[in-house]
Amino acid sequence: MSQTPDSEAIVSALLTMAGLSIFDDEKAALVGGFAANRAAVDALYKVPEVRYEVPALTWSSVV
Amino acid sequence: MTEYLTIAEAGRALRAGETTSRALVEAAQAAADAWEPDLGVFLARFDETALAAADAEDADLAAGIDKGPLHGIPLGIKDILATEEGAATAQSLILDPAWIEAGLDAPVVARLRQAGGVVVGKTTTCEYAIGFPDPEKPFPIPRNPWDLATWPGGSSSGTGGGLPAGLFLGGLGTDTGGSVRMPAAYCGITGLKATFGRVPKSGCVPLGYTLDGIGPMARSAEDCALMLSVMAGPDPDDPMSSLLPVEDYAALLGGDLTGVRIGVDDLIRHSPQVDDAWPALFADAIEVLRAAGATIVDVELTLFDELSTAQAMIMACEAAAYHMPDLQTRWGDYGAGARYFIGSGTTYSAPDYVQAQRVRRVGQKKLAALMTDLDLIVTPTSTMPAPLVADLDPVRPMDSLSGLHTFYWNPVGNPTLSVPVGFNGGGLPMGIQISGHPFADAEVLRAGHIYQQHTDFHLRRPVRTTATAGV
Repeated sequence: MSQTPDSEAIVSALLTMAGLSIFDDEKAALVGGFAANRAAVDALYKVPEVRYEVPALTWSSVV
Repeated sequence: MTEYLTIAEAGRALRAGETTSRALVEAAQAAADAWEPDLGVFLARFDETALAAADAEDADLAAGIDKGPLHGIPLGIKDILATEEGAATAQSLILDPAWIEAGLDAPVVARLRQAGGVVVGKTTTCEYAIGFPDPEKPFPIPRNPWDLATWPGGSSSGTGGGLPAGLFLGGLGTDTGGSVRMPAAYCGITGLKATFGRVPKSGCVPLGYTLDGIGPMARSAEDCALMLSVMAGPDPDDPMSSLLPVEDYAALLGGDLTGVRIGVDDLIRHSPQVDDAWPALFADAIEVLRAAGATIVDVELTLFDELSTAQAMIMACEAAAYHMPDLQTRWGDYGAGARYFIGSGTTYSAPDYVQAQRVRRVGQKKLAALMTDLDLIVTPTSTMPAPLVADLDPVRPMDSLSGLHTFYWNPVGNPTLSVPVGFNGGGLPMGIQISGHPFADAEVLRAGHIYQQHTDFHLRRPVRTTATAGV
């Protein structure tokens, strides 16, 4: 997951999938920060205690 | 500016017959006339309705109807909350009809009004409570009254900047990642991110559903306590609001800190930038708490980076979901900072979002374990003071916020109060955070109040200087 050989291709694909057309400087900033941001996200999967944890989201069947 | 600096002081004067609500509101309006538009506090002023409300509150008080400590007090409301005087705009051209047509008070605003508070206007915010001010959009650029070339912080910018300048005595902010505490620290006032769920967020335009909170902002911890007692309590439209009983927070402020164990983490290891004055200001603040009776223990918050990452991701993903149709069709109508941050939510995956919500649980448990024999934890709100407005880069936000340490406390949910602890060499305020156990908001406020019994940083007044148009 930490392999980001082509941040520009990945960011472009994600933006396209979301249907967003953004300005060039904004896309450049997203691309430039993508690898570091991805590494920070990947670190969340390496927190040992998270293995059997449930997400901090609540749900009730009663409206 | 009113001669009364705090809600508590003005309330005593009102009941002693030394002033009136009308006089307080007129003084606040005079201060607004003196500072605006340079300060960029108000998106809308309600001068006529505020005076009419003040007269009504004065009449009630004269008739023996005392609605409590907020009776007759001028208040500013961040323009992301609905009020009956005007629609919540979220300082955006992306107008959501559901909010425009509301015309009703958010529950928290209604509670303040029922307690006698007088709404004097809607204050500036970062667009949808995120990003930086965009000079290309038709909204005021909020500035810091301590130096008009600097930013008051965000996203509760107007409430933060208006308080030290005397444009109101109390106000509302919202805090998803630090939007109450950052402007509190940058502007030398006090602001509370209450325990998540303590204050209902119905009637508030959402940013991050599982992180958002509405918080009181004022000069003092005592004033925040007075406001919180009115604001807190469940609302049926916010399923995340807590059913736990609301305390009389101001009544619990007394005593000293004897027997209170405070963990201290200076977070220097997480601070790319540290103002030259900060280490001494932080050390002095800790000594004040120690002298007030607290036992000080060095601690180290764990998963600090991970929870900060989780906060940013959850906020971006939840905001992107809310805004997606408009992001797709009206990208350029959003301000540069808001659209960049909210749009970044599309670069995460669904598993990433769920993983961040799982890490929150771990973070909660680790913090609870750390606090097993602690009552409070003190950290810097920011190791750097307010940045220059000219330095705010919408696509590189952390370049000017690298000293900020507020994010951690939102995903864990604990109550966290920012109090001013002095000024740097350039005369800019700086602040610490005091955090407590979940729903121990009273203990957090009490520690802040006791600290402020020994210091006067929260009572300092900025000097009106000339405008810095174009800076």
